[in-house]
Amino acid sequence: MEQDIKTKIDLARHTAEEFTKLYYESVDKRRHLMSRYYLDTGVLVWNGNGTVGKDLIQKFFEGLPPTEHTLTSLDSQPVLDVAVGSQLTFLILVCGFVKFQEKISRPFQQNFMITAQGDKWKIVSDCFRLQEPVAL
Amino acid sequence: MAAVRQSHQHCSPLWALNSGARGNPYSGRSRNQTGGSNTGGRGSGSRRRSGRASPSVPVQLNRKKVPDNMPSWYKVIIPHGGRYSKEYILKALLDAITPTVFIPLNYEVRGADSSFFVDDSRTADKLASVDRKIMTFKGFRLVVKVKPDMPHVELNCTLKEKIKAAMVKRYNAALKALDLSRFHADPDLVDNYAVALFRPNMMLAVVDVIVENVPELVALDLSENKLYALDSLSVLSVKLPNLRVLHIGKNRIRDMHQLDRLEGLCLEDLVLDGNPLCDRFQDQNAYISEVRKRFPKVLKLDGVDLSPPILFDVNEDFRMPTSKGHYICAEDAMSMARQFLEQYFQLYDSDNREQLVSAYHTDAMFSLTSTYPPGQSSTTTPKLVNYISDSRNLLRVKDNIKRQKLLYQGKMAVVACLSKLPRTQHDPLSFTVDVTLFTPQVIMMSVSGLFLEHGPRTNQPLRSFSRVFVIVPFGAGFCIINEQLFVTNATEEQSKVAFKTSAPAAVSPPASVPVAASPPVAHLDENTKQHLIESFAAQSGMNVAWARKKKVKETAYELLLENVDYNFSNTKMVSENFLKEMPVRQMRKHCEETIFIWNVSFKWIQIHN
Repeated sequence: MEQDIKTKIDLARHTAEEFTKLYYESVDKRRHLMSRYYLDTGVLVWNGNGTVGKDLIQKFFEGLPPTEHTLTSLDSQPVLDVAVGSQLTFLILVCGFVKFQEKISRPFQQNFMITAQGDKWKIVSDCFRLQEPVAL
Repeated sequence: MAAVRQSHQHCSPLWALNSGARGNPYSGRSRNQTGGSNTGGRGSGSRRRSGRASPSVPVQLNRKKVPDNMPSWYKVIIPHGGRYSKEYILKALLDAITPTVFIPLNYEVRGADSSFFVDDSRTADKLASVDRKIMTFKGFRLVVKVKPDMPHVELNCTLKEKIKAAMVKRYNAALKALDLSRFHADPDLVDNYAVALFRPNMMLAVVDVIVENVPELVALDLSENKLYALDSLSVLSVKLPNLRVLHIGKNRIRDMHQLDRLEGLCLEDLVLDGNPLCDRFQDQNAYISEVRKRFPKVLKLDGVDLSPPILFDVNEDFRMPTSKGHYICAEDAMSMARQFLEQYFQLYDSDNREQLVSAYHTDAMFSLTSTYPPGQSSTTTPKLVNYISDSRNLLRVKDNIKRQKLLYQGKMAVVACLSKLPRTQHDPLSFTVDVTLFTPQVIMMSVSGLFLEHGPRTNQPLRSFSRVFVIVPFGAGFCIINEQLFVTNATEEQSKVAFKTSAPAAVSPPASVPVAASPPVAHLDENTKQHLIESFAAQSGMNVAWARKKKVKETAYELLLENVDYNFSNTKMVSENFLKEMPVRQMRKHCEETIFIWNVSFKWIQIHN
């Protein structure tokens, strides 16, 4: 059991590294691929703006200004079976900075829940926040 | 830009002095051919330029000490010049070197000697060549010493005002054009001050004036200012969104990459001609292409119309979606999220975080990451060492054993780690909350915002955090099974709004809060206040001492809120009295805004205890 969780933790680490590499490259350079990252029912919350369903998420990404992400930190955990049963699911937290058109680096934080669907990893939940005050 | 060009004239009739041979990418001249003052002032210290042809000048001045990045300014010293009038000396020199003309900068008499500065090497060479050749009316030969040197000018308030006045004069309001060409030679600044824009502090002062007074600026002329770096101009792309015309010709910019500092400006008319960087291009097309890489919309380069670029018909008009304070995926998730956060952060901010143990599942996992925001480091900002030492940043922590260790497993380990972190006070009004999953099996919730760190020292750093919780139902309540926390320093922008509506107790010591100065609670006598605090503490489980520390006004607001939500009869009467006395609208607004105010209910945590 203990060995099992250790293996999962290591797989979560490896998957998070692979995932973030591909995901941010796609966001920055190959937006047309974005829908493929999500479950059919996946959710993206971008600075409080929620989009549900991979096709709508694709559309949302196409409307965003061009981006350039740089990561400064990454962390991942396996989600415990209590929540997801035997469904292999990981939690990923990313921090870094992002440049939009105006060329200024802004800090952001983003977390994901990804799950194995057949032989593909898919995003269940994707939540992005710029580190900035939001007017209530 | 025509107006800018015309208005050149007023700054000095002599401004055309240096308009001799200049680098011009259209003239197809050879690589090493440089002209005029561009060759002056080159130090020997630059390895980069060691392969270039050495400049040929008629009189060799001692240039060894001119630093690499120092444009060619020369100090002209006339021993015994103080015995003559300024006008006499200058006329004698001008006559001797005619037809060359110059503007003496910072003319000053010190003791018997007089001195001034000139700003180009050709003039300096000419002046050096008339050493001991001028016979004065007193029968002496005039000694003229020339050495590389710069005027030293202190940027004080008086000078700032002078600079501003000179800029006003050079501004064309009809065209929104500002001509700062050869600014150091401005007749109003030349006498006592030499405002050299190649000095970053001077340029920043000038940029500040522009940004503050004419953010709508369309055209800016910075020609002939001996600029070698453009770092001080990097704010322009953000602060001057309308800037379309930029003339930075006849400066000392060596490298096209300097223009990267200006990237983001939608320039349509750019003049670079007369900078050493132009000499690097033998091919005009390569030059245009390098410029268009940075400024794709340039239609006019160095005064020559370019054929408009053929672009693609794609929509480039992106708009950033407006940020929203929260996203809640299901209607009934709202009250659960609110309750959860109220309880969680109340305990998290208390003196005893171990109470949080009941909020976690037996096998819960927790990890922390922490980095400095871009542009910050431990030397310039509050240190994050308390967090970074436990940071499980997979980009940095490569050791597998450490990675396993920093992923805390089991509620005891999690709470032990949380208890080790510095004491905090969160600002609920800064919170953004996103509930992205809300199913009978699992809830996923992200929270970000600000907290003050209570340290041993008086300064309490403001931190920004981002937390993600995975929560599952447990018994009749819920508990956390996975949690990730990220901590960093607050940005300047965040600091401005932190704790704006409810000042944290720790920074407003209770003793110094003048109760009488706070109208809503002015009529609270000491007994009522004590009663309020005690009943509030009893109902909420809040530490009495801590409750007292909070400003009474806030406590009252909270009680009022509780009253509305839970019919808290004990304080109902008092609350109603408040209602009459408080500026009602202001209070209601506060109550509405304070979504995540501390709660009295402990049902959830007690249930699975």
